[in-house]
Amino acid sequence: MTIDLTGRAAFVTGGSRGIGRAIALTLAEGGADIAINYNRDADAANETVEAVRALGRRAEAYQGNVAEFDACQQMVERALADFGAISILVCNAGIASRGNSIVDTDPDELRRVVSTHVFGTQHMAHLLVPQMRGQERGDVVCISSGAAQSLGARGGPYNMAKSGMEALAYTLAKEEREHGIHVNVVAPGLVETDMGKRLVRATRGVEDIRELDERSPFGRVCQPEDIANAVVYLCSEEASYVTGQRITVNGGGF
Amino acid sequence: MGDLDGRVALVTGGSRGIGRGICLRLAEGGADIAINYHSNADAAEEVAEEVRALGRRAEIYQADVAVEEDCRGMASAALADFGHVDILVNNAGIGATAVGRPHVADTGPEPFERLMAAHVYGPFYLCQELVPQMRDLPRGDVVMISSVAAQNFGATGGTYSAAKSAMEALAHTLAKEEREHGIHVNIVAPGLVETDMGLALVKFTRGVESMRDLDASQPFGRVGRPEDIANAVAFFVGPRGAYITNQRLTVSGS
Repeated sequence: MTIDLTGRAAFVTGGSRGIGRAIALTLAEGGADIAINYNRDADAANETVEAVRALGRRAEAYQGNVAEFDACQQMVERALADFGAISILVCNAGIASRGNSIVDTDPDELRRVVSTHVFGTQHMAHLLVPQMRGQERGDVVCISSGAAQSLGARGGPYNMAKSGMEALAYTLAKEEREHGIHVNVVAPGLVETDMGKRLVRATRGVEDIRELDERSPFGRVCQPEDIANAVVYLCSEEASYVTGQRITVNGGGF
Repeated sequence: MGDLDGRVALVTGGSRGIGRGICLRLAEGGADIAINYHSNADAAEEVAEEVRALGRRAEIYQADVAVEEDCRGMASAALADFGHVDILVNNAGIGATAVGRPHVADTGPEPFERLMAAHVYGPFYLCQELVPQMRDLPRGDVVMISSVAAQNFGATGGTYSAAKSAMEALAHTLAKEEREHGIHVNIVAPGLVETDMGLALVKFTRGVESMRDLDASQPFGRVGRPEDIANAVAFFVGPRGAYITNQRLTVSGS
């Protein structure tokens, strides 16, 4: 049984690089057309668009900061005009926090991180879920983090933002199931992305993340494709009775 | 050809219901199947024929997983027949309804002992027999079929909930112990599924005669199916689950 997403269109936030890029490509391999949101790196977004098109699927890129509702509204209007309908929303865009303790955190930083992860997800759900209700199936997948389970010191803004995002997901799952919409969470641990590389440089002084392979679960640092594979499963027919769930993809979390 | 080509799966309670669904789904993925059954040899042989019709090898093994010698003998026989067992699915079980759904305070130890033997001791014996040889394989997988009973802990389900919880504890412990050997241990927790056990449950607790009477009141307009559970098992043991271990996925539509 191969996964078949033919005829579906996915909107992936933060889709130009890292985990978002892998999600865009893996959904496209499954047959979906892809709307890619990016905030800053237009070249990376265009490169991902080209990679999706090379798979024979349609792709368009939309610039916008998901923390801003107006930007989301404009992106969604254009994407719906381009694709007709969107049946998969992957909320992946994220920013890391700066590594300060809660007591030492500038409230502006907290507001910025929460805006991206919680408000960004709510903006996109508000704009895209209603049109999913009339479709055969809708899927929302939130890319959270193991941080929302471990709640480690000096990760306050990120921990709070990801926890808020998960609460949104589990609530939305209950509200929209009657419309055939599935809402699930994928929670990565450390992944080889720009964000992951910066994290290990800052917290462990590791310059090359691959130095960590030997000490990592299954002998390797998690790759963006590992996360994308969980997302694709959740959006597929194979998971048609799965909603309100979280899959942690971190090699076990110990 | 398939994701699971060259791998061998032993599925306990594989002759009917969820276990049958798992046997067929893993065979579709390319795995050869060792089918355990307890009492219904005809049903087991029928599943074996269906697996063979998919072009995979199948053998059937009579064993009561609650009996230590049965488990150890079955493991040896399967290893002798197939050479190796890469995937162990601990699915065989007895419902609380089979022991009269007693209140915790109103029952002797016998029903608890019976369910504990089937759900906990059996998987424990089989892990002891099969996990060591998995350490030398490219990859090993153990999947426990637990239940939402281990998260809901409903009244009159104590025998079953306690057994499934202990089974989950076994899984989470084993996951930590064996990851270094490339072995993945995960849990799938079904809700109500259309099986003989599920039907006995709803006849007893809700007085309905047919699962079809419940469809309208169930998530996504239908009672869960064995395939829903089998698809989650196939996700965990396949390449999309390469970085996933120690996880629990509820497949209940909620």
